[in-house]
Amino acid sequence: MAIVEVFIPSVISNSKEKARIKVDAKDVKELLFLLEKDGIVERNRLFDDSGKIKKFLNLYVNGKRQNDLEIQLNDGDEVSILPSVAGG
Amino acid sequence: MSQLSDDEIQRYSRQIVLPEIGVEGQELIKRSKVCIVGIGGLGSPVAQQLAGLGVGHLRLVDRDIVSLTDLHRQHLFSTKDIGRTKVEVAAEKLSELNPSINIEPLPVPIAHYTVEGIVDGMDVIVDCMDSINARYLVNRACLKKRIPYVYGAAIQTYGTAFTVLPNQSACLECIYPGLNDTDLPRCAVAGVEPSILSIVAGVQVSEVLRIITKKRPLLINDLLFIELSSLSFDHIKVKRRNECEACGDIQNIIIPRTENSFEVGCARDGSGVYFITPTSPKKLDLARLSKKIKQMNNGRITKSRFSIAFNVEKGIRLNILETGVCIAQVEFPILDQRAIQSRLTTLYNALTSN
Repeated sequence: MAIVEVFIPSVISNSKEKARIKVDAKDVKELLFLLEKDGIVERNRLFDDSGKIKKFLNLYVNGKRQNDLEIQLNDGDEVSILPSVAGG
Repeated sequence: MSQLSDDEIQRYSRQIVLPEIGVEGQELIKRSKVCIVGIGGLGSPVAQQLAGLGVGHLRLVDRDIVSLTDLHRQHLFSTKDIGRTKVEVAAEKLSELNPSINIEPLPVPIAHYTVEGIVDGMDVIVDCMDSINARYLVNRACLKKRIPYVYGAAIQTYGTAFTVLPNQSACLECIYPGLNDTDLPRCAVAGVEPSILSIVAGVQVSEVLRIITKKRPLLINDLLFIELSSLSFDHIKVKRRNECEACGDIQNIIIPRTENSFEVGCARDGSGVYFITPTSPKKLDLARLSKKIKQMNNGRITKSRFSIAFNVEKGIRLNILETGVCIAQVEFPILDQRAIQSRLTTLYNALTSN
């Protein structure tokens, strides 16, 4: 298992506040499962109908954009979940 | 000996006094060339601030016209400007704000055949558009021409900004890969609060100012995410991706369109809006086009510097730009989208063919 630091802005989380939390998860799949289980993010905000991470969402693992559920996580990794923003 | 006149020293005195700018910085600002793509919610405040700062040459790029639904957030425009091209109005307003700078209004679409010419010769590009597809084209042109690129975007009550130094830092497609406009919410549907636009625009201007005064911009490999709900500014470190299709090891080209693009725009002013954009450069003779329209119907034609507008029939108004872009406004209710597309395309082809 790995303790990772997660950042989720309020537009993605269920709360009015952004979330900066530590989660113990071995990979991205487990991380998202735990976030959903703990009521931090609703499933329909993360996944499309086919179970894939929504296209406009971005998971940055240590700064690299990797929307892959199989990515392994290590102690101290930083994960951010952000929406793509393109309006102007 | 300063290159600034007495008038300029007076005009810019409140910023020249800053140690970050000074006389030397003001001279650099005066010599700089900045292109703003998209003169909408972000582009309006960015353009006003850069013109006020005294940027010597401002290139303004937008293919759209002013509409009533723009005015709550796009304060460069007034109610009387509705229906005119944004760049034409913006050029007039900014010249009044600062008559000593050069303003180059370009009412052109962002397309494979225009984009390199749009960024060429500029010191920095400020991306203020609302289309990810168009943003990808500009990002790639900046990578190719090695021009710094300042990204800003906002929707609802949140926004983001980052800066790309070509082939040195993460580019737009490293950060937001593989998207289409249909994957993202747009302001007309999701809404946008004007204050988030002012904040993001201010950040963009600050990055531009750093670049043109020879300082390192702050948002390199650093995505700034701003939320009004908690008034928070969070910095997320981002990295280049080897797999990036724009700047990575194996680069894929964006395939240009082969036929005139027909897009359904955001509904506005009680009408559906449609854009027809040509796939190759066009320079229409507006006087000749006006004659043709008069032969077709005797309706009133409104002419402006870059476009003409007229009612084709009850409920359909066309605005045709000299660059070949056509903006059609069709009054609700629109019963059959396909029939509208066919009708508008036929009309467009008849009017713009030789």
